[in-house]
Amino acid sequence: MTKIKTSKVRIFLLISILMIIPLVSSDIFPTDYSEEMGLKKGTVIGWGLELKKQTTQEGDSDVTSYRLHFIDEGATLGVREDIFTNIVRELKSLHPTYIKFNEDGDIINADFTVNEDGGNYTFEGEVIRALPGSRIFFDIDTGVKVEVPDNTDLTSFPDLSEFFPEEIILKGENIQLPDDMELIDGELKIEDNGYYLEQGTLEYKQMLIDSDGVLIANSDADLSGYDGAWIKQTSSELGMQSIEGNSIQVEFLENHEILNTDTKDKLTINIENGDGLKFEERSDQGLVPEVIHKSSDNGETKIYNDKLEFSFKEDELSVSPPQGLENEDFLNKYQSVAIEIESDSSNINQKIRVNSYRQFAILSENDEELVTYNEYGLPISTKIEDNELQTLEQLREKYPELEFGIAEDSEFPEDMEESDFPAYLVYYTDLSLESHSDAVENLNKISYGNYLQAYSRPNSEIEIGRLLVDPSELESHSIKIRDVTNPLYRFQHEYEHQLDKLVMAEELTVIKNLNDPEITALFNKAEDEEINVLEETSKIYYEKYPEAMLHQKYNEIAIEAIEKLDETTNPLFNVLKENDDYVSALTGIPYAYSLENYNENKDASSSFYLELSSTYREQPIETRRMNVQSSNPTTSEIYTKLTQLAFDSGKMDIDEYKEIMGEDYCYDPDCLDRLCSEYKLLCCEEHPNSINC
Amino acid sequence: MKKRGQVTIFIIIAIIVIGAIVTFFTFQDQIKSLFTSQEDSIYLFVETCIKDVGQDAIYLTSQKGGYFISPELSTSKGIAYYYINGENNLPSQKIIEEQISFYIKNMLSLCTQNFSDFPDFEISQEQVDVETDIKNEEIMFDVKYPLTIKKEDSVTRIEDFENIKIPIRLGIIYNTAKEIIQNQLTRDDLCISCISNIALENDLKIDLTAEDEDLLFTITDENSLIKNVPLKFSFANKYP
Repeated sequence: MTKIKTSKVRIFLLISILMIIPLVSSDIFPTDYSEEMGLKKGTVIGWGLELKKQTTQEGDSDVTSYRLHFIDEGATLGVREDIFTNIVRELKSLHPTYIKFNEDGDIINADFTVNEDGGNYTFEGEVIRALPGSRIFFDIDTGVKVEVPDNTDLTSFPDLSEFFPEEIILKGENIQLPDDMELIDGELKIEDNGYYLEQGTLEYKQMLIDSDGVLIANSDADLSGYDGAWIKQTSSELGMQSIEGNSIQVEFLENHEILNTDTKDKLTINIENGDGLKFEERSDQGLVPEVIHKSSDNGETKIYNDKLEFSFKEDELSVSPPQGLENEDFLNKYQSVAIEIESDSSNINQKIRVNSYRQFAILSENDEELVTYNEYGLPISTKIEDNELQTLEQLREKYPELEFGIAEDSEFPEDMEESDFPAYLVYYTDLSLESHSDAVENLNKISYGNYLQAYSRPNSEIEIGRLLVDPSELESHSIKIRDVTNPLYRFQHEYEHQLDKLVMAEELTVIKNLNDPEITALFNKAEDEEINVLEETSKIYYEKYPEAMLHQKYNEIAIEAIEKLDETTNPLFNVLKENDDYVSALTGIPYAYSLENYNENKDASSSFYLELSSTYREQPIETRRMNVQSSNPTTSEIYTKLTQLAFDSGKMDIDEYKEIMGEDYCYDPDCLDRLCSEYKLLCCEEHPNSINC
Repeated sequence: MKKRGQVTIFIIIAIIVIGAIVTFFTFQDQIKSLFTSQEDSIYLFVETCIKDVGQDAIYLTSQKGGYFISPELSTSKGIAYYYINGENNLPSQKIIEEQISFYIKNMLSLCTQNFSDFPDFEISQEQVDVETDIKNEEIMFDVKYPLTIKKEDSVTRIEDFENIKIPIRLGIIYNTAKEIIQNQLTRDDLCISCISNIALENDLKIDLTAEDEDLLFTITDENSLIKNVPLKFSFANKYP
């Protein structure tokens, strides 16, 4: 009995073992796939894997390959002496996870993700140290690519070449690398003399570099003899060189060391097919960086500097025609990077000077301006100090006596922030103030709004519309009003209104002190009642006294011009009237707008619009000079009077007066022989020695 | 005695008459030249006016691309388009000459002011006709301005004021504009190196001003002074 019992137990145990073994055999016992793959036994073994055979047609023959997929947790593969383990199984990695073999048992392809333990993997005899979470790609034609997880920080690794030896391509998005570098999206290789960007975008030293193959060289790398595309930046110089069939695009970000960029600067360059560029820092000379263009037979270089697009191609420099600016462009970005460019091309002998305000000039070898863009008579300078003024805060520092800010109580919506101020507006404000030496003394405030016009406001304030300096915002009816394109003229116009107000205020003081009973009574009445003292005083004064007030003198000229227009029988009048040019052509008065208000109110005593004064003064000096010398006696007479009024009233200095009237116009060096000939009220108080007083 | 007295009177009268005749014939050239020099001064006066008005004409038409009356295809400021979306709109030199002539013809009388500077003369004027010829280094005017000049019993007629020259390089400037347009017609972008080479060759300066989709070209010539002001010639290009 005992013998039979023992036999039954042994059979039971054997059966149990035989039943259990199949359940656990796959984990414990590796599978030898070699025979199935037509290889010598023991060549390819593993567990947790699934073998798939693939036959493809290549030419006339069938090609067989085998893929082993990692399907179980802990799946492991041994290929001869090499082990592939710590691999995330396929369902978990969410991508095909496999190693592919050819008929000879060589690995020809692989795609797998390494788990949290990391691992070492051998491909073609090269051992790859894979970081946890890396995805490994291998292709026998292109080699190994290691894709690290997005946002991986590799800066703590002192020597990345341990993990990414040469020929291993690092792939990923937003990968932080040593040497102030970030792989935004793409593939690169780590080489002895730098990082080779295979393709994609990389951020380095405040540059976004996009290329299909460029070496980002170490700053001390020796590139002599290097025949590939490269970029290299030192503390004082940035160089880049493309090769045939290759392109490099660089977008400069804020705080670039050589170009000294800020948040509003916008500069992108593109070189291809053999062209190169070198940027040299010149701050020690107080100058903006110099850019040397290196031309090539088939190359092309494009420089996108804010909205200016320069192109060097086939020995020519071209620029794209102006594009209509969108409002958003103007609000967000209106700033170019100040640089000076020269080319080694034999046909481009000129220098290109670009300032921070989207202006450029082409200069001859003798620094003579040949072609300018949007100059408006403003300087296009290579000095750093001339390009630095870009914010309202800087204006406040430079002119502490003046207030700068957003217009208050404006009839236009206040939808402008200080951060929206374009640098050009700051630049033009500064130049306007510099060209009017007494402006700081005569003004209290300059305010800005989000509109086209400009205004002279009470309390010595000038209000400037932001769009006033945007050349794209030309109103369609400007020809009938006036030339609104040159920003300096617009400032001059409004400033002239301010000066007229100052003169009128001073005149009132003088008139009050005449002790005329009628005028005195008026001033007394004004203390208790709301009356327009200026208007009422002007009327009385004009009737009783021979020396008219300044605004009355302007009114007289305007009314006289209107009468001449009404009386003219010149046949040209009917032709010109259709274009509103008749006013200027027949009388010399700047624009129809100059007389617009006078048509309604031909009252010389108290019309206060004074657009004639401001539109005259905003014209360029050469235009006024021409009109003084016009063959049309009416024009000549009017402009002589207008010039004299501005000079007599103290609004115009002697230099401008002589420039318009001619150096020989006065006998006296201080023009005392001419002074006060047209306007005497305040002039003779100020200059009693004038022969006209 | 009475007879002798009458004879004396007749002799005196005869002497006076003979004296007057001799005086007249002796000084007739001076008398004529006195009258002629005043005629010359009227001629010079008109010539000066032609030059003056001519300069104004050149100055004003140059501001609008050679037009005094802006053409239909011009910017909102009345500056003629020379290039519009790939098409050539350059005016011929003849058109510009006609525009200058037009201005002079209509504005000359404002300068002469009915010859009020010559009160001793009665001067009547007829219709003015002007021919303008733009050359490289100068502009020449031939003006027909028929004037009948009367003084006392003398009547003189002058009408031809020919070969009046103004040293302005409008021909060079026009050809520069033409070259720029011809270059533009071959491409979509703007060849800045080409334009600056043209400027350098002709000793000119060219300013470009962007206005929306227009580009204004202003050619300044420091060698062409109008009343001591360098001539500025403007035209516009419109891009798609």
